[in-house]
Amino acid sequence: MRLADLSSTELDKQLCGAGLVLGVGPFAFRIKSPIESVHEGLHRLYSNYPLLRGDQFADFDVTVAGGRGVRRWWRPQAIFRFDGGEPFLPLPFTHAFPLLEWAMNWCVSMHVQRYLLLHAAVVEKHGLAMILPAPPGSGKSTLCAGLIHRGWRLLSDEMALIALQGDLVTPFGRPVSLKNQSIDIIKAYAPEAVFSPTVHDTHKGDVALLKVPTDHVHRIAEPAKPRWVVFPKYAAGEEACLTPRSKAQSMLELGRNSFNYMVLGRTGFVGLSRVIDASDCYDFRYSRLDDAVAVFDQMVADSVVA
Amino acid sequence: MHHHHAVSEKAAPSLFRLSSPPSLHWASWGDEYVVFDEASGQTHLLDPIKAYILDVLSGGNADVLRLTLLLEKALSVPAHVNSHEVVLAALEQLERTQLVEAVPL
Amino acid sequence: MSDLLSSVWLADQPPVWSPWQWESVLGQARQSGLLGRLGMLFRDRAWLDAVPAGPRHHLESGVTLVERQQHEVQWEVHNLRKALRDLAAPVVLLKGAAYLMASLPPARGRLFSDVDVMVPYAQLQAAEAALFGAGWVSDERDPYNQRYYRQWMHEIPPLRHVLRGSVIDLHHTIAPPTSRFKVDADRLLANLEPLPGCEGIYVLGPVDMVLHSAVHLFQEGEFDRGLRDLLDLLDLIRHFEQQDVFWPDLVDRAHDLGLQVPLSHALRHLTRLFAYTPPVAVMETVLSIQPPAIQRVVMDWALKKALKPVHPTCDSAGTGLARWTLYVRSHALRMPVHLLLPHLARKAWMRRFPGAEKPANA
Repeated sequence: MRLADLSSTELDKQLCGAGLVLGVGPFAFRIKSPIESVHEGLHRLYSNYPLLRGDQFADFDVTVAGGRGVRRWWRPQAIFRFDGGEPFLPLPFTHAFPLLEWAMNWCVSMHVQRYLLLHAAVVEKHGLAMILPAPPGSGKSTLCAGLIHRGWRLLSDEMALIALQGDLVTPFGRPVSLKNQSIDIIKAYAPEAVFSPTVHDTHKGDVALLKVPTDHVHRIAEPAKPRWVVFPKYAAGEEACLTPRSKAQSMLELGRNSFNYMVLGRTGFVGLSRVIDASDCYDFRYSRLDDAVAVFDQMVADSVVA
Repeated sequence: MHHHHAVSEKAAPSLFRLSSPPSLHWASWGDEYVVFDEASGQTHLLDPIKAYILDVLSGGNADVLRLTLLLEKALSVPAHVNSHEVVLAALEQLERTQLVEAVPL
Repeated sequence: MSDLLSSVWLADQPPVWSPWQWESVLGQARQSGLLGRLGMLFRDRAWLDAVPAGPRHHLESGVTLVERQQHEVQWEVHNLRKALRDLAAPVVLLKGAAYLMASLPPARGRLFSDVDVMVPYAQLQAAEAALFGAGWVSDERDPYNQRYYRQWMHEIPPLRHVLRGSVIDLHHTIAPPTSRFKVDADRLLANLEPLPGCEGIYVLGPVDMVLHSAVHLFQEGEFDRGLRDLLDLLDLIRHFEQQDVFWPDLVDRAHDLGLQVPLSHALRHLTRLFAYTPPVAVMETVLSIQPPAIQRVVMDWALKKALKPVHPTCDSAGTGLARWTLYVRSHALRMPVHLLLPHLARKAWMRRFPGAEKPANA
């Protein structure tokens, strides 16, 4: 059963009651929220994701609720609750749906130790996965959003899940978070793409969430083997430039960009070295999405031939 | 006052050892080395010289002189390079990352 | 739904829970800092295979986390030992670090943050100086707070390592000087146990360790850790009482140090929550240390409410003042991350989040 199969009334009932149990890759989230924009967001962007029955096990029970007391209607708030506590400070009410997304990321990054979690996007073509680590503001999400509309499958936009046995990347694809100008860029680049309404004045500026293409959601159980680690850097006006990069340094950089590399100790070290073993590492500077697509497609072509 | 067991360039050749019981794990590509120190949970990027010294010490304690001689042979250090200085510098860095320590007298 | 967690520790059979119950239990465990302990319980009893995959992954993740923490604490003790090598006094580990290094049962599955260390009062300054030299710097930068800590509370503010971020709490006694229970540290120092393979580092003698646990439980405001601390106490007592001399010694020592009240309260709650009772032969002596009836009733009521895990599924109707106080306290946004030794990537991630609370000890 998929979320789209629920009537609006039924969706409301679950969200306001025992929770809507949404399957996202290897995890299930029990989502509770009385907030309209959250209902809307789920309906629009998660329509093709599987639902579990209400009485099945959910990994994380997340509530996004309105403020209490006066904050219900005066400078109204949206609050994320988990395990009886509130991990974040309240946000403005209009940020409720992005808050849900951030909350889901937080849950996984804080509590999951059965994968090595890297702060990176992952896309795949012809069974070969490309890991794109990048600090915030490097254009990774825009790049990712562009690639997935030019034949690359989305495995993840924020968080790469590396299996601890072997080195496969497990998909955990969710709506891609885009900010400010990127929103318009992708709307032009992929006119068929579906977006959430833009939320203004978040701490990141304007934020909108891009729906994951249906086919990618249907293939969410299909892992992929890493083949490249590419550190992207958007630089206005620059010609696309792919330069090889030290594997050892890339390994350390990936470790620094990991949520739980330190926690996993030796297991994390072994897992990460396997990823690096399997992958050619590059720095990539670019300014145009088309250039990036061309370069990456060529890498696939070269790889398939070789 | 912070006392650092300064790697002395003077008289007594200090004896060095790995900081903790064998708990090092390695990965390498070309002449780059990454070592994971299980005791401290830290991961380090090492050049061939530090990697070699660490490898020697994994087999047992050694003093600066011995390390220098071994290094010269194993890595074909060019004649004009003061390998003694090189070893001292490497040991100092390895001490700072707590991978090795001077054996207390 | 009620508190499922309290009953599991003394069970001989693996509990059989529905998926919803599992969600509840895991949430309660996380909130009480007991997920690792729960995971280790299941692992030690070979119950894990019977757990469905979903919950099992969380138990295993809990175990991974505590094992990592324990590893890090061992490294900290290693460094602590090096730093205090020249101190002319015993260095005594307290609480979690002590349980871990002495391989005592409470260490199994324990999550903890700071390393608690005690030295004789006369050596306090020398110890602080040595730790400073090795990279542990006072966490408190405000000069007024510093003075408050030192002059009025006779305590040293927590010391944080400049590189590793680990924290040492340096004490010279086991009860906060502001506490109504003042313990003469010299008596404790006369009764230390050495740590094999760890020269210069000691732990408290068994009865002192138990009394410390009892005093600590009833001093701290952290009642959302109450269940965990009571479990520690239960584990300690069940471990040490294998020696016949333990119970008489404990009661004597409690009288000696003026700690009858906390011990008595602690034992009552062990009975109430875990159906644990001291051996019959000892019961009379134990009863002799009970505080006056009225005091008992009030304390019991407040603590009973407070000692349950703080989780929505544990809330009973009409919880009153105790729960409210507890609820407010748990709202001090205690994120699990503060229990971990921080590292750069995690900090960077935290900065990204909208108004994510800084760790409690940052």
